[in-house]
Amino acid sequence: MADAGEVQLKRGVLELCVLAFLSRGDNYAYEIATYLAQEIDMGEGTIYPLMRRMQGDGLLEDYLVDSSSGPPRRYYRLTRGGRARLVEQRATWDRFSRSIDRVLKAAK
Amino acid sequence: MTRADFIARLRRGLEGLTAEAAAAIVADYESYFADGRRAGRSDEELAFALGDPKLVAAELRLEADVANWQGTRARGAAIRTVAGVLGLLALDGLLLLPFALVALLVAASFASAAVAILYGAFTLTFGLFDEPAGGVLAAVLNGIGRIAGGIAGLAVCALLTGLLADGCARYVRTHRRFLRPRAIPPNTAGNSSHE
Repeated sequence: MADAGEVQLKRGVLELCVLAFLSRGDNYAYEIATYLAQEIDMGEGTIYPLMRRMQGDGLLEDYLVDSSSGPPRRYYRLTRGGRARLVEQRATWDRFSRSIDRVLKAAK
Repeated sequence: MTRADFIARLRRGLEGLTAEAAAAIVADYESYFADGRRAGRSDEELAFALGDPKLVAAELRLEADVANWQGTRARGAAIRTVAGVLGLLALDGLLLLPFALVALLVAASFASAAVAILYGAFTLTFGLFDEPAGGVLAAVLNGIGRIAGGIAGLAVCALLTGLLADGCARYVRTHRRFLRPRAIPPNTAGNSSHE
């Protein structure tokens, strides 16, 4: 079970994770939710509000695809703004994690 | 909780949003259940993973209010945003209240059991080494009685602590705020359902 610090850390990078996941191809919320629940151990219900917010911020757009079983699926894809945000956030993350690595190595 | 239960509670929680906004959100969660079923998960398990629908709805409503406020800077939107935050806190508070009460009860029982044992020990030693009013035997029995009562009290405390821990565990599992760690349903712990 994650502690408060880990939750804080994930909060900051969740958007980055969604951007990275969608950069591999369009997908629907359930797939994103279960993938991230598995990879970074976060609540599946978290994804839906986040997708709405990211859509509101112009990072994602959605379109409906008919499904053979059940209702049509809402797929998400990155917008141009979403791709730009991914590049920018990834650079920030790389810089940040390198710094932290250095600090941790120095601490021995 | 069944899918229908979850959706009904979610819908109720979304009152106040425009009909289209609420319908879009409900459709999201409907498709979550549909996709989850296709992946072979039970409704129970899916609802569990989502958490309390009342909280999910409160967060989504708050999300909409914030967007509205940032978009329009209208006073009504600001008030709704603040009310939404307070509402979420109140929901949290209401959920936490039973635990606070049980925690208080546990603390009080521990304290009174400890006092009983200490007082019993005092009566006992005092009875052995001094000349108590009712005679040595009465004082010794009195002390032993108090100590036994205190030990029984400690047993009750252990029981209450167990209840409290159970309650907290349930709280942590059902109450999934943003980014709370994923719940692991009891029957599928360990094997992920993600393909």
